[in-house]
Amino acid sequence: MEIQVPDIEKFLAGLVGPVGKPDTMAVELGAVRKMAKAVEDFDPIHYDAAAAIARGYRGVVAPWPLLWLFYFNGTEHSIDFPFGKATVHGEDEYEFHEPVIVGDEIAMQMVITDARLKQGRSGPLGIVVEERRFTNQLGALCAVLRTTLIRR
Amino acid sequence: MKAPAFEDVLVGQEIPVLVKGPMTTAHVMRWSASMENWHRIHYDWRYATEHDKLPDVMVNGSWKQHVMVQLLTDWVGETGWLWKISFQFRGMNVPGDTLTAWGRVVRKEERGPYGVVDLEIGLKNQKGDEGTPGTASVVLPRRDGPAVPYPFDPGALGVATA
Repeated sequence: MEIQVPDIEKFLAGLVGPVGKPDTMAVELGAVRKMAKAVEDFDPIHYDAAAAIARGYRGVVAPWPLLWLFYFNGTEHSIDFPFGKATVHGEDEYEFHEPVIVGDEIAMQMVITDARLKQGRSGPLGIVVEERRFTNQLGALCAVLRTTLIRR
Repeated sequence: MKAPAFEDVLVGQEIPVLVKGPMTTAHVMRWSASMENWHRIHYDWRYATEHDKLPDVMVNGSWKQHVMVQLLTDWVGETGWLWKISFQFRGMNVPGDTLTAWGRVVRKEERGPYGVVDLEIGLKNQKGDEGTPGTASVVLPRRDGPAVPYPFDPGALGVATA
């Protein structure tokens, strides 16, 4: 029997809250250089500590999408939706505060901040917002990454 | 290119575009490896086309985001700060595509001793199809104002810290 709307809503409401424990990872020079090269960003702040320090940074600066390396390396997490056929990565939003620097220890904590049912053109859609906050070893907030998943 | 001060920016202004491509499977593979994203739609052509019925392997969404981040960090230079950026994944991109990241100023506002500039951004393919529309907010120094704080703290704008 197909799951009914009140049960879907109950399932979604139950998702909201922290997911797992904070996961910590070191920022490695090789990873940063590889990523900057992969996107053809040749700004020396991504390769050379002296060049980065001369421009006011603490050391070699990670390109912001390095956050995705943490995302893919973080604690495995997937939502086992009892409805719909496919989960689509619909939208991302970043906020940037303190640059991520080679040698930093970055802690990532994930929280589901919103999960609700929305009526789409082709039926009900589950909307789930995952928020990941990245903090460095100095306690500074580096970035917030919000990802919206759509279950249909 | 000189980094803009808040006063240099006009609402409606287009910022210089950033063009990448044509994209190759090597771009997609290198990026997937650098992120350790092993989703098969990015490297397994048969899986992408036969199982997921996609036209080809997919250019990663986060690769596209980086291009748009770079568009804005190049524009604001060392004196400005890319504060917020958001994207919607509306269209797919595949190897062979040439991608043009663009931005247009839609609003500007003095906040504390600094200026905040809001932009519409996007990433078009060679046919002009928009695949990744989004918005961004950057903080710029005023011409005779103090430097934008580094590390950036939104408290300096008189707004609550995230």
